[in-house]
Amino acid sequence: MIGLISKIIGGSQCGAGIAMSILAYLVYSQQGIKDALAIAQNETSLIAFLLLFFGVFMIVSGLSLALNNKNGKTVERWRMLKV
Amino acid sequence: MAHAKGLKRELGLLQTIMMGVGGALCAGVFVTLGYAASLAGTALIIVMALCGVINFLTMLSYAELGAAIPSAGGEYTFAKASFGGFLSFTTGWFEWISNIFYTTFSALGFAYLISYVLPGINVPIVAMLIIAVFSIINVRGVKEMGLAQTILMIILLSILAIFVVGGFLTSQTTSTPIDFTAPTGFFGVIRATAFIFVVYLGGEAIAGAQEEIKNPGKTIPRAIIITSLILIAIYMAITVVIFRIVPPESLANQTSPLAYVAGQFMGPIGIGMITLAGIIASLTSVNTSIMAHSRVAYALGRDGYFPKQFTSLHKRCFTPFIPILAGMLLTGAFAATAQMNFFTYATDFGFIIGFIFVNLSLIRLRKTRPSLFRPFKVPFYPITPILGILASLLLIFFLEPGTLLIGLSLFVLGLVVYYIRMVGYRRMSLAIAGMNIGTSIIAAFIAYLLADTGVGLAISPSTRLILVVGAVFVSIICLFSFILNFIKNGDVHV
Repeated sequence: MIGLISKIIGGSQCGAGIAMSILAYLVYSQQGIKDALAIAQNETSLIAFLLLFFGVFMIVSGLSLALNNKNGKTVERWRMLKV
Repeated sequence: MAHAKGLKRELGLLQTIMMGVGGALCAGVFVTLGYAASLAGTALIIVMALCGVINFLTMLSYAELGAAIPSAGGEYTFAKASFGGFLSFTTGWFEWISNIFYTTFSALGFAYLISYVLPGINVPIVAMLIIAVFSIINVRGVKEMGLAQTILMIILLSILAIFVVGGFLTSQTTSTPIDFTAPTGFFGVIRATAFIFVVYLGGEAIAGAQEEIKNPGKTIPRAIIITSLILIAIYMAITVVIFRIVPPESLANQTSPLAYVAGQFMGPIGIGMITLAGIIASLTSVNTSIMAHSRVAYALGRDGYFPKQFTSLHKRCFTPFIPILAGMLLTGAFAATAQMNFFTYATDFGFIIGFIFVNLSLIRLRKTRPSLFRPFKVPFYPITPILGILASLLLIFFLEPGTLLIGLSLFVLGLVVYYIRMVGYRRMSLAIAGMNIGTSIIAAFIAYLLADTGVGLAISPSTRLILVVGAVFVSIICLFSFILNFIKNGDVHV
C-alpha cells in the first residue's frame, strides 16, 4: 500500500517539478509572463533560478519516492555504490 | 535491449584521426579569428603555432596513457588508475559536462550558420533536431558514426584545401608584408592564445573512444600525434593565407572572417564554400562530442558514479544507448536556451581542467606503476607534462573572469552529484524529507499571500485562482512526500 502511495505522490511531485521548471524557462524568456507576475528585470534571473532549483528538487524527490520502493520495501541501492 | 558484452573495437587509424581532427575543427574556427586578429595582428600566425605546441604537449600525455590504458572514458580512466576516488570523479565529471556543453555549442553554431543562409529559421529547434539526428547515428553504431565522420571530414578538408591552395596562388594579395607584429603587445599575444586555444580543443575525443579503437597500443598514439600535427598545419596555413589576402584590422568586425577572406579572392562562390565548410565542421563536432560524452558517462556508470543503466549496451548495435539518449535530452534542453557565450566558456574551462589532470595522471602513474606496459612513452619526461600543466594554468589565468565563475559553479554541481551518489541512503532520505517539509511550508505561505492580497500581481482572478490551487497542490504533495520519506527511513535496516 505504501509502495503504491509513494508511486502516486512521487509521480505527482515529478509532474509539479517539471511544471515549475517550464515556468522557470518562461519567466526567463517571456516578457509577458514577467509583466503578469510583476517581476522586475533585475530580479528575473533570481526568480528563474529559484523556480528551477525547486523544480529540479521536486523531480529528484519524486523520483526518489517513486523508484526506490517495491511493494512497500525500500530497495537498498545506494549502499551498493561503494567505489 | 541491453547487452552484457563490452564495446566493440571497430575504429581504424583513418577513422580515429578523422574523429580527432573533426572534434577540433568546429564552427569556432570560422567566427573567432576576427577578434583574435584584433588582439595579435599578424602575430596570430605565431599564436596558432604556440597553441598547437601547448596542445601537443598534453596530447603526448594522452598518447602514452591511451596506449597503456585503452579503456572507455579517456581522462576519467587515466585519473581513476592514478588517483581514484573523488579526483577521478572530478575529472570524469568535467569531461562529461564539457562534452555535453561542446555538443550544445556545436549544434547552436550549426543552427546559427544555417540561419545566415535561411534567415527566419528557429535556431534552438534546428539545434535540437541536429542533436537528435546525430544521437540516433551514434546509437546505430560506432562504425556508422566513424563512416559519417570520415565522409564529412573529406568534404571539409577538401574545401579548406581549395581555400589554402587558392589563397597561395591568387595574385589579389595585400600590399603590406606579413611582419608578425601584435598591436596590443606581448599580453595581446597571450590573451589571443587563451582566446583562440578553443580551436584545438576536441581532439582528445579519441581518448573517450579508445575502447573502440583497433590495435590500441599502436593506433592511439599515432592517431593522437597525427591529429595534433594536422591541426597545426591546417590552422597555420589558414592564417598565413588570411594575412596574405587582407590586413588584420579588416577582420575585426566580420561575422565570418574566413568567409570574408574567401570572398575577396573567390567571390560569392568562396563565401558559399566557406559557409558550407563551417556547417560541416559544426556537424563533425556534434558527432564527435556526442560519442565522447556518452563514453565518459558509460565509464562513470560502470564505476557506480552514474546510474548502472548507463552501462547497458544496445542488443544489436553494441553502443551505450542510454547515455547517448540521456545526453540527447540534456543537450536538447540546453540548446533551447541558445546561450552561446555560456557554453563557450564552460567548454573551455572543463577541457583545460581535463588537460591538467591528464598530465598529473601521467606523472603519478610513472611513479606509482613504473612497470606498467607503455607502448608509447612521452619524450623528455618530466619536463613535457610539467610544461603541459603550466601552459594550461596560464591559459586558465588569461581566460575571461566569467569563465572561472562558471568553472567553480560546475565544480560545486559535481560535488552535489558526488554527495548524492556516495551518501548513505538513510541520510539521503532524511535530507529529502527535510527539504520537502520546508518547501511545503513555503508553498503554503505563497498560497496564503496569493489568496489574501494577491501581492500586487497584474493577473485576472481566474489566473490567481490557478496559482493558489497550484501552490496548495505543491504544499500538500511536499507534505506527503515528507511523511513518506520519514516513514520509509524508519523502515530501513542498514
